[in-house]
Amino acid sequence: MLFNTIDFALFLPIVFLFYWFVTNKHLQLQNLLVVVASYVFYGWWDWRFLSLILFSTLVDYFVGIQLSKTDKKAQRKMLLWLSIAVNLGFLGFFKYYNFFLENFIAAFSFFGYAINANSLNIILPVGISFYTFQTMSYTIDVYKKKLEPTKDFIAFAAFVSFFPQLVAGPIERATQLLPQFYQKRSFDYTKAVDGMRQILWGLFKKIVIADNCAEYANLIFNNHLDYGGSTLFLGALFFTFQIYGDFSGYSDIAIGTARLFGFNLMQNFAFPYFSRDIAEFWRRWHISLSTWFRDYLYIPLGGSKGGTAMKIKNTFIIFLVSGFWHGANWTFIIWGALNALYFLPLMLFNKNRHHIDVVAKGKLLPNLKELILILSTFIFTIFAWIFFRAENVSQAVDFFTKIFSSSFLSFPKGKGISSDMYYIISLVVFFMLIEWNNRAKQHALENILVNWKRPLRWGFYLLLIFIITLFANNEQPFIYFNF
Amino acid sequence: MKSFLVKIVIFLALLFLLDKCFIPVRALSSNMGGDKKLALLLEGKLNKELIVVGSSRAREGIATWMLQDSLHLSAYNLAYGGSEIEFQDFLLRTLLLHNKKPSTIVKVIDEDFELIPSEQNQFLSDRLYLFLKYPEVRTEMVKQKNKNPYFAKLSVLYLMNKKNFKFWNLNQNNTKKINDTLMQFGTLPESYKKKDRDWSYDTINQYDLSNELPNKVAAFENFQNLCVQHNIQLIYVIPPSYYNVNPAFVNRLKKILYSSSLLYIYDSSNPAYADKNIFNDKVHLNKNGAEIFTKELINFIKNKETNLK
Repeated sequence: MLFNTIDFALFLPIVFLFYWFVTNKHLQLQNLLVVVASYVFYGWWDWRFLSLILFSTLVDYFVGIQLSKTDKKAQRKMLLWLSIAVNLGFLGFFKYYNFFLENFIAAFSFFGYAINANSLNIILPVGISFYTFQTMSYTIDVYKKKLEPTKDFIAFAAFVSFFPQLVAGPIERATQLLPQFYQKRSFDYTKAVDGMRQILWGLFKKIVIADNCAEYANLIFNNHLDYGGSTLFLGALFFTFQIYGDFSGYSDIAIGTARLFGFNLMQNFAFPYFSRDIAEFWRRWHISLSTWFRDYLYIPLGGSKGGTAMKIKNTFIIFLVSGFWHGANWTFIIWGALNALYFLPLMLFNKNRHHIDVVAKGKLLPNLKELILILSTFIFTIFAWIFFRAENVSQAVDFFTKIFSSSFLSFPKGKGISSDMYYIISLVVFFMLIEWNNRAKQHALENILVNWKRPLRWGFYLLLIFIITLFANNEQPFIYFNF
Repeated sequence: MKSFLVKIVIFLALLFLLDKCFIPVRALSSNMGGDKKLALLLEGKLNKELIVVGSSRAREGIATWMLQDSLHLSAYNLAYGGSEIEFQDFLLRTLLLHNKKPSTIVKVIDEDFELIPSEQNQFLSDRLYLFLKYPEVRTEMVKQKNKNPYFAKLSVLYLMNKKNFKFWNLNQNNTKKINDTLMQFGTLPESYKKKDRDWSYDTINQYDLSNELPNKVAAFENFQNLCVQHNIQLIYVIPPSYYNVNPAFVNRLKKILYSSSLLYIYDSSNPAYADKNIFNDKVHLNKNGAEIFTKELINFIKNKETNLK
């Protein structure tokens, strides 16, 4: 089920009413409802893949129980690897099997050995990269004795499959989300209203910004040979806003929905396009994944404690793995490598924690230096997104060749580039202004207009709904469903 | 909780009322300079005896004025470039609903992708937004855009989009501004030079039934049924292209054609069609080519015992 559909608009109030009016007296029953609702939510797309979630849940639940029963190091390690093997095994098979096969065939044929192997027609289960990482975090934390293993299977199943964040995150830590399933939840009016606001803003980001930017980004990327440098740059710019609107919009809807049910999920995007350097960007973009890699990969590898060579190695590993997590394509790996290259100088000169606070805190506008830093970081990000969006490496190279040619100086034009584009640009400007105004908050509509009278506040919400409805005609699936 | 639910209900009620305020906007949209042929069709001003339907191959391959002059029938070319059979089926349904029924329909076939998915030929839903005041357009949009039918009945804004709010285009009365030729014959063939034209000569002898879209097959069937029900002579036409007609596709086509329908495939032995200069590109004739082919088509129609006058 997609958040931006009528199906979800009907599903959500039904589950909400059952949750607060029918099952509210019994915590177990309430958690069971979350599990059932989550399985319905996921099964709406393809019920066959529910077995994967269930299997993953069972394995990690029993691994957790067994870990609590033994102190033998070898046994504990074996249990941990069992969980990792099952989770990464699913991920590897469904997501990376064909990629490895094709690259093995290409590598062997390069050395003159012909291999006959057919790739498989595999459907990628939606959200597999998200929920496998979430369950792995549980097993790793239990193994490291940071978390007591749960004996409550229903609570654990609800933690793994919690529908608001099941298919595209935020990737929650067991230490943060699981305990919330043990406690009785009570309805909090302020939290619920803010949750509704966050859902509304998430829908605006997805339907108005992402889906409409996608129209031009797809047109330009799919017909890149027909356009000059300036139009290609415009295509990359549209994609830059598409991916942000798409993914952070999903996160906003997920977090807002969870709040309606009394849960707190972690902030996944903290206004990343206002970052002053790439290190700050990575502290603000897809925070749940970046911190996952930091805690479960970068730090165990030694982090930045070792010498320069170790720092460089670990930085490359984390960015390459992060790129590969996004998809089985060399373009994602290059995207990761490019970000590592952006990041390395900052780390080597100890400037990677230079910009921790919110930019231009307490001020209306940034100063010139901040503005230049924001714009330069933004442009570097756009260049990296070209690899992320391109179908293959040669398409990305062609993009760069044209962008760095004289055709960049001409006015964007070509087939399909119409005056409608200005509608989208003005909406993106409106969107960024709202985001800028609330960059110190958890989300862009948090506390917005709260001091205004209700008619004005509601008028603003109605205006957003009006814009969302008008621009809702190019329904596109969420990009991160492919990851 | 009670306060939360009460406010949600009030907000939704307000939203419902606000939504209804857009009924006049929807009604006014048809004066915002939308598609002129659709405007004629929906306003019941397309009362012709012969109608040409199809995609760009029908637009550029048929000289409608020649059909009118030679067959002594008022004729109109209702072809839409980039349209597919479901859109053409919608056009026919709308034509019969609002206008006098024609006696003949010339339907140009898009070999080989008449019934299979094609990026070039789509249901042109973008053209329908400005005509949402017509219930049949709304029904079609629900179907084509995969919208929820109940919600479409409940909400006015649900089916509208930004095109309906280009108020600066208001009062562009569709029918008044149509130039005489468009009013008289519909779209006409053009001659233009396309860059980097590919003139390689292809021969395809295969047709995979499993690629066919059930929606397209159903629309194709419905198109024929409508003609039978309304006693309209349906003539299917495959105009010249700069490659051989795929015999496997023609065989498939013959299997689904009703006995009352006629099929005319251009005379491939005609040496005129070997000349690139009568084509805009491999699949589209230019004005000269359209005249040559229409002459052939007229002879075919005249020599058949049909219900033409």
